[in-house]
Amino acid sequence: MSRQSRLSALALVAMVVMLSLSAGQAQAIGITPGRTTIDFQPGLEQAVTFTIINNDHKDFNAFVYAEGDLKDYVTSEKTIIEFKESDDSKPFTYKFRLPDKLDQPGDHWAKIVVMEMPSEQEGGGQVIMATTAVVHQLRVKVPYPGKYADLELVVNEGDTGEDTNFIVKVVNLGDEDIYKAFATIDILGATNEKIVTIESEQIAVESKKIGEMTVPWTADVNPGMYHAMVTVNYDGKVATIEKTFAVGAMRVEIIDVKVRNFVLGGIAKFEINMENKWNQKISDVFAEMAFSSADGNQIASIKSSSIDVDPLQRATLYAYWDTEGVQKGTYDAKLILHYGEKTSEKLLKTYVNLESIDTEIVGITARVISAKGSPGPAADYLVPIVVILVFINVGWFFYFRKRKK
Amino acid sequence: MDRNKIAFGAMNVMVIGLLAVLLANLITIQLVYPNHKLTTADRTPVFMWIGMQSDFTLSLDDNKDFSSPVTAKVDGNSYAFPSELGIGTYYWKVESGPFSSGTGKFTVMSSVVVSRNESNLKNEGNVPLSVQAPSITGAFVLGVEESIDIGAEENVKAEQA
Repeated sequence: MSRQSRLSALALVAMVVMLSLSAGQAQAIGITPGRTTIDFQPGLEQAVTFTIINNDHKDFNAFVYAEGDLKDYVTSEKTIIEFKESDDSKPFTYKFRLPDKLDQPGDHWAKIVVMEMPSEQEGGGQVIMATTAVVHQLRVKVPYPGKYADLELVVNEGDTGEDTNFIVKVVNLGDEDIYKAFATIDILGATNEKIVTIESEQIAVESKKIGEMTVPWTADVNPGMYHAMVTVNYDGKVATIEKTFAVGAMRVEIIDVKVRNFVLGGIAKFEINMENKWNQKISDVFAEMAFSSADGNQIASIKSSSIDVDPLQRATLYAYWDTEGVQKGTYDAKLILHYGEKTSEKLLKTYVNLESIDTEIVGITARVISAKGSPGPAADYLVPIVVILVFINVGWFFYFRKRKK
Repeated sequence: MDRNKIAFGAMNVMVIGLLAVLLANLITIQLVYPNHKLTTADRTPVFMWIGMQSDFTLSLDDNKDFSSPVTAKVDGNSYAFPSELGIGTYYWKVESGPFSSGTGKFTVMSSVVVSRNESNLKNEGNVPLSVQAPSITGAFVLGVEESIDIGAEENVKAEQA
C-alpha cells in the first residue's frame, strides 16, 4: 500500500469511528502558519513545516491527514503526533511533489487536516472521538494563459489636508509579462458624487511578479468616509477593485454650553451645542456632565438623552441639573461627549449665580499616548564616566601648570 | 618623556574617544521591538525604539525599499498602528531629522486556533476562519475572537478564510 493510500485509509478509519462527541470536554487546537503559498512548477519537490499548537497545555494526540485536489501529492512520515501537557507546540513536516502539469489555471489546494484526539482513556486504551480540526493550506498557484492581472488595493489613510496614498498592487497571474499597466482612481464622496479622478504612473510587471503603483491624493475634503474605484488598464485588458476609506477621524466638536432662564434652587437646563465634523450621520450622541466642588467632591452627575446628528451639521443636547440645595459659587464640571465608539472630554468652569449659570470651557483633557524619548542604555553609564574623566583631566591640567611654576 | 605627560595624553585620547561613543549613542536610534527577523502572530505589535530625539517618523512597508510606506509621526519611543497588520513580511525604520535607525524586518504569520467548549466554537487565532461541518452546506466565516454555537456538530474543520 502506498504512503498516500495509507494516509487516506487512516483518514477514512478516523471518520468512521468519530461517532460520539465527548460532551462537556473543552478542546483547543491550533496551527501556524495557516497557509503556505507557492507558484506551480512542474515536478517541484519541497518540504513544508508548520507548527501544531497545544493551546490548552494538555495531553492529546493530533491526527494528521491530507485533503484537497492535491492530496495525492502530499506525504508525511507521521500521522499521529503525541502531545504532553508540557508541550507548547510541535513542528510537523510534510513533503509534496507536484505533477508535471496542472490543467486548470488558478489556485489548487492540499489541505493538511490536524485533528485533536484524546491520548488515552483512564484505565488504558485509546479513545477516538469526533472533534474539531484545524487545517493548514498548501496553495499552489497555476498561472493563467496569456496576460492576467489580479489587483490588491491598500489605502494609507491620512488626515484632511494631508496625503492619502493609494497603493495599487498588480499581481500578474498570467504566464506572459505585462508591459504597460496604469491605474485610474475615481474618488467618490458620501453620496457617491465623484470628487476627483487621479492617475498613476505606468509600470511593467513580469509574469508571477507583483507590481506596485503608489498614487498620492491630497485630501482637501471634510473628514469622513470616501470610496475609491480603481481601474487598471494593462496591455489592452482591464481589472477593477474598489474600497471604502476614511479621511481624518470621526469627530464631534463641542462649541459651547449655555443655561438660560435659571433660578438657583430650580432645574438648570444645559444646552450643549456641538457640530458633527464627519461627512456621515452619527447616531446615539449623548453627553454626561459631572460637577464637583472646590474641594474636589462630586456633587452631581447628569446625562443627556441621545440624538442622531446629521453630517456636517450642528445640534444641541439637553441635560438637566436639579440645583436644590446647591450653593452659589464656582464648580468644576467634566463634560464627556459620547459618539460612536469614541468620547471627547472638556472641562468647564461653572459659575452658579442666583439667577444665572455661566460656563467657560477650560480646555480639552488629553491622554498621554507615549513617553518622551530616552537615551540609549550606553548613555546611562557613559555620561558619568565622561564627567569623571573630564574632572581627572582638569585636575591633571592644573597639576602640570603648578609644577611648571 | 615625562610619564605623567604620557598618562595625560592617554587620558585625553580616552576622554575624546568616550565623548565620541557618547555622542554616537545619543544620536543613534536603536530599534527594539519587533526584533529583527521576528515571527509573530500579533497583528497589532507595539513598535518600540530607543533614541534621544523627541520627534520621530516611523515608517512601515512590505517592500524593502520603502516605496509605499505607512508612516506615523511619533513624539515618544513607541507606537502601535491603529489598524491590524495583514499577514506577511514587513520592514520598518525610525527616523528623526538626519538620523535613521536602519531597517528592521519581521513577519506576521497567520495562526489558526479554535477552542470548543461543549457546543461553543471560538476563533482564538489571528485570521478569520472558514468553518465547515457535515450538516452545513458550504462554510461560514468566523471572525477573530468570534464564537458560535454549533451544537453537537461532529467533524468540524476550521481553516484560514
